[in-house]
Amino acid sequence: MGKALNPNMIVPGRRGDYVTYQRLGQWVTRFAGKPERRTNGQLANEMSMAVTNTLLSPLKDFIKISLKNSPKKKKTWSLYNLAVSLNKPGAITGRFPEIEVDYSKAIFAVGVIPVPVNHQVSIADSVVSFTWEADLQTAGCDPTDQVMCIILFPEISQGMTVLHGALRAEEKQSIVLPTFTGKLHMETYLCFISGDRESVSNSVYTGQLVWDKQ
Amino acid sequence: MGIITKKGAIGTINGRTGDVVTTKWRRTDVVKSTPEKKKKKKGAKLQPQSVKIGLMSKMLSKFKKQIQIGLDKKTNKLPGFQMAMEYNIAHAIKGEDPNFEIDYEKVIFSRGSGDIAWGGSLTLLEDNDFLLTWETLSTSNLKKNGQDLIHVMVWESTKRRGAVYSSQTATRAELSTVRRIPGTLIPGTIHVWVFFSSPDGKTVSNTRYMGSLQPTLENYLFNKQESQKSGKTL
Repeated sequence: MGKALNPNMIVPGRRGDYVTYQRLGQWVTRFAGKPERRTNGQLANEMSMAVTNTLLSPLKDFIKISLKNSPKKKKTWSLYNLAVSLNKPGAITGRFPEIEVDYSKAIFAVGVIPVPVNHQVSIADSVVSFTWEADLQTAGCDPTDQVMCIILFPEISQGMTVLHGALRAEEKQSIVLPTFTGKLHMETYLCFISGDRESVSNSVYTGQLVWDKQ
Repeated sequence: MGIITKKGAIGTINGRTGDVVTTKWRRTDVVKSTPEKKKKKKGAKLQPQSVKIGLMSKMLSKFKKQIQIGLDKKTNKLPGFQMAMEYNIAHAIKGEDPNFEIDYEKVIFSRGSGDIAWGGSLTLLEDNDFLLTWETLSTSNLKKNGQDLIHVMVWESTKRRGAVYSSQTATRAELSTVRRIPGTLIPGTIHVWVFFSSPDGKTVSNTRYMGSLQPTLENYLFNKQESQKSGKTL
């Protein structure tokens, strides 16, 4: 164990194979060592992180817009960090090693605009249609709000996102799917963004669709 | 294993000197002890894992450059090729010992957050070429990812030979490309995979298995004669 004598050189925490910390009032550096085996808790945490990344990585562009003005716990957090902090404790369920995503609890947008009401989603001829009620009487609902949609394909870790779709007053958004043969599950979400791009609504889970085409 | 940071006047020495070996690992000059002598007897039955490694490394070693683009990241603990080996041995091998086979649909050469090659088809053309088409999502921003480059990997499963098309490029926005099947792979069953990478190499898509083709020798020989007549090389 070595003493860290130069106060300008002290970097608390682990750095490569070395860890620096304060012990009995003095800064010390020692070899961090390598654990021989990981506990179930550590493995569960790693698996939760992997599952969360699989959920969020196809939606990076969406998150950059939808969480832009959301409050962060720390200034240094990126928007992706924020999305992980919302979803890793919230949308990940099960005990190790059967950890999975509860898609109905996933959060992709946080804001003050009223959420879409009476929302529905359907699929016909490779076109996914989202519908909602404009609900313009409610305070905070503006006819110029635009819809943002997510179609997530969990089996292949891909996503389709509409970042600035139909107006709230139009009450309908259609998304044409690519050519495909086989069976895929789709998880769908909806939220609104204001015309000035300064505020969003919370995201709502609109349901699961099955895309089965032979 | 030690990293060589200071190079001598004659450059880096490569090879074995006594009990140490100087070599390159992940583009870094390193020095390490010599490997142990093989204890296995020649002709002894291979362990199942060794059979799998042999099967997979024969195929993946042909596509080292593509794997470097698709899987090699400085933040990863393992080099790209080792990652490809680890994943594909775990997920893309089927069958029982010793009759292991590669499950071609599950092989990956890349992993990333970019859009995959959606839809599309693989068609064998008359003149020994194949036409590869793909689609872009109706919601995707072609201004952003339209210039992504396609990487096409071709593998013949009987002769266990492959082909890459490093000099030919096509972008995502072009939606199709035509490639020639090398004569050394004909006849046989040709498997085709694709993935996209951004021009700066920072974003890659997952690999997609596009399907298989069965070019015939008759077509190849006929086209070879035709091309010789016209002075073209096949």
